[in-house]
Parts: sequence; C-alpha cells; structure tokens
Amino acid sequence: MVDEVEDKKPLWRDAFDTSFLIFAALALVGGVVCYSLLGVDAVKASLRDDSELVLFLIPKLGAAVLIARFIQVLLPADFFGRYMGEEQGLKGMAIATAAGAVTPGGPMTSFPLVTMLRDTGTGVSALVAYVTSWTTMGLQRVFMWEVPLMGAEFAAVRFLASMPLPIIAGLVARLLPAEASRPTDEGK
Amino acid sequence: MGTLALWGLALVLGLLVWIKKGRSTALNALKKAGYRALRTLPRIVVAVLTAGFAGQLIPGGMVANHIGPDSGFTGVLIAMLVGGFIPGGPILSFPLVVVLYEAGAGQVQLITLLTAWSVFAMHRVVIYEIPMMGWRFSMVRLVSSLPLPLIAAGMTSLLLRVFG
Repeated sequence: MVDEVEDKKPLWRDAFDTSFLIFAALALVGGVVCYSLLGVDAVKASLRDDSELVLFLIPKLGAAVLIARFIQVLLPADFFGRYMGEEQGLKGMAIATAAGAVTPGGPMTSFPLVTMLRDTGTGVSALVAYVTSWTTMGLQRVFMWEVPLMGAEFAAVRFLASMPLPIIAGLVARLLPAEASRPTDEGK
Repeated sequence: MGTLALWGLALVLGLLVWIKKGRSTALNALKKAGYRALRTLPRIVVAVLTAGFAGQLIPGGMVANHIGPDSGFTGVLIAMLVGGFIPGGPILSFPLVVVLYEAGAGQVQLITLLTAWSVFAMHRVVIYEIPMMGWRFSMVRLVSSLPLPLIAAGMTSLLLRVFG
C-alpha cells in the first residue's frame, strides 16, 4: 500500500508533527487575541463549544478511520489505475474518477500515483479527472471529515454536486494546448 | 449521520474485508485505522481550538451577510475566493467550515468554498504538484478547474431545490 512509509515513524512524532505545532501556535495566538479583544468570557465560551465539538467527534472519528481503511483495502486505487492507461476518452475519465474517489491519504500518496500513470501513457484529460476526483470526491476525506463534522446530508449533497466535476475538468483540459500530446519528463 | 450508523457501516465493511481478504488483512487494517485515529486526534483538538477562536473574532453578522443563504451569486464568488486561499489540508478547512456554518453561511456557499479549496489548494500545488508533475500540468489542471466551484454551486442549488 502506498502510505506504508508514513506509518513507519514513531507514533508520538507523527501525532505531534509540524502541522500540530503550527495549529497549536495559531490556537494560542487566537486565544490571546480573543482574550485581549473580547475578554475572558469569550475565551470560556469558545473552549466550551470546542470541547463539545471534540467530544462529539471522537466516537465518529473511530468509525470514520475504520471505514476509510476498509474501503482502501477493498478497492485499492491501483486497481483502477491499471485500466486508466488503456482506456481513452470518456471511459478513461470515468475510470479515473472512480480511482480518484477511492485514493486514500494526502498528496504524498496520490501524486506519486499520478506521476506513475503519466509515465505509463495516461492522457492529460484522465490525469486531470483523477486529481479533480481525488480532491473533490475523495471518500476518505468525506468519511473522516465531512460526515462527522457537517453531517451525512451535507456530505451527500456535496458529493452528488461534485460528480460531474472531474469529467468537465478533463474535457476542458483536452481543449487546452499546453499538454496535448504525451507529456515530457520536465519537473521530475 | 448518526454515530451508530457510522459504526454499523464500519462493521459491515470490516466483515467484508475479513471474508474477502482474510483475517490478518482485517486485523492489520484495524491496527492502521487505530494508529491513524491516534495520530489525527491531537491535530483535531488544536485545529478545532483555532477555528473556534476565529469564530469568536469574526464580527457577528459578517458571515451571514457575505456568504449567507441569501447572499446569492456574489456570496458564491466570495466563497470561491476565500476557499481558493485556505492554506491547509482538511484538518484546517473542515473545522473552519463548521465555524462558518454556525455563523450563518449558506450550504451552497460552503460547498462552493470547499470545492474551490479542494481544486485550487495553492500550498498543495506548490509543494507537491509542480515538483512532481511540472508547472505545465498544474497550469492545465488549474485552468480546467476554474469553472468547477461555480458548477458545484449550481448543482447544489439544483439538488437542494429538487430534494430540499
């Protein structure tokens, strides 16, 4: 699996990494500004809301990470990737859309797959459709963040509204001149 | 979705994995999921704190006026602009969306904002996409993505009218 590497680091270092520190610093600055502008009551109200939200989230987060991981085991992204290079046109974009939706994790796991697909001859419209699908319809993001925080109805509406987007982006990409033919190896 | 429904879905998928891929794959998936949850939790706590303070500091009424349900097409454009410049992953953007939602933002506007954030995410373009795919691919993809937040907004209005 693609994200095997990131699982090798010790847990504590992974949990309290740079993005944790950045957010901790932001939270601290936010708290201080809030205190000095609005007073201690605003800080207390904010902390009360925050703890409610976190307590509401924890039981859902447990189920969400399980769902995301099980989907990944059942439908590995490379499964679709195998067919992406072979299919042209709308069918290729449709497969790319399915592959993008089931690709787990952040950009460090999806972009290596995009690079590999390009090197094996996948056209630019399918690549654009794949990246668009992964960012707008990524199921891991939907289950880990959107459903717990915004509710299933919001997530379902957004997911449905996003369904045409990868194909539209892929079709527009095909009209653009820059990378009409097989891409070069630049930027690698 | 109710917490119970989520756990039910997790259980069904887990059983599917067990049946189709065997016991050790299922247990391994369980372990990795637990690891991810532990790794994500501290970040969620600080991100929620940050978003919460931001919510306190945003003047009351400002969100509802600019990107509320009645803000129309202007609200959609503002949401698109804001979304395109959120400098971070889902850990930042989703707590922020919760805060904006509670402050009175409309669903069409929030979906526009999330779509713009998803497809434009400049930090991701600069850190991952350009180095790995080359700037020409990024340009093609970004230009192709320009209409997407507006299309998502239109689709959302349509869906809400049909099912809402």
